[in-house]
Amino acid sequence: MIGLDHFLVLSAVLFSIGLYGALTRKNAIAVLMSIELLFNAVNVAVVAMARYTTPVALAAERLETLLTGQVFALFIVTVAAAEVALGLAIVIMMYRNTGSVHVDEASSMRR
Amino acid sequence: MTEGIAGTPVFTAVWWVLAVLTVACAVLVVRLQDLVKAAMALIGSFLGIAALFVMLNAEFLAIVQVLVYAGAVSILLIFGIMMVRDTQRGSQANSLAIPAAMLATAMLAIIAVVVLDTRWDLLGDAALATGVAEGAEGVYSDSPPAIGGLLLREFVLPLQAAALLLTATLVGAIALVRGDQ
Repeated sequence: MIGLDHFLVLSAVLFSIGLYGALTRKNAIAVLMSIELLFNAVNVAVVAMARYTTPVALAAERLETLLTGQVFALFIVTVAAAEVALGLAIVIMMYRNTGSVHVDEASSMRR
Repeated sequence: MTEGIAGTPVFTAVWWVLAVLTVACAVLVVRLQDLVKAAMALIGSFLGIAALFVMLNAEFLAIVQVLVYAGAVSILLIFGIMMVRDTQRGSQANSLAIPAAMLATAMLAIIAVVVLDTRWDLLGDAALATGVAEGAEGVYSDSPPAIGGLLLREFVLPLQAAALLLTATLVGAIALVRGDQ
């Protein structure tokens, strides 16, 4: 029987993998991909929570409120899309200015 | 839709197959040296998560996931990889690999302990968890109109904020990469 626990632990596993990638990758685009994994892991947790634990008091009057978690996940998708577009613009600027996309070498803003 | 399916062995088996595939793709994303292959693994991971959304009765969100993530975001990332390809060095791990692995494992352990130690059934309705609540199936099986209604009533201010964010991002991205002309 698959329950909320399974989805939340799966979300935690994906989040940890993404965190590892975001911390260890040298290439800035690989870091962006790891951050996308983090967003997706959080989305799984949000939707699973909405599916399994919506309080009856909230859902009794208007059943649409059962979908509040999905609307929340939609906003996360929007923010993630904006983030990756702006992140890639920054990476391309970095490549143009320094000829490298390795985050270890991005030290021009260091004092 | 899934009230008869959610507790069956088939549901469990499908869930485990999807979970293993998604996690395997995620591991490939953070381990592969070739970034184009890593992006392909990322698409696999996005599709696995979309399938998990279907298993959570979130079909509309699954479609959005396929369109926005597996479609738009991954193509954007692959374009980015091709524009700035650093062929000599690939994408090796930096010196933080061992501390980062320890941090990620510790975080996973803490979250897993907390999740497994919590009595989630006290939070919600036991009937909802098995999908037999009165009328809930109707909402889940016809969710796009309900989501649209929520977006334009309760969440109209966040919706406008999201629109403003997307506009600002678009202008910002163009201004950044346009260069000095």
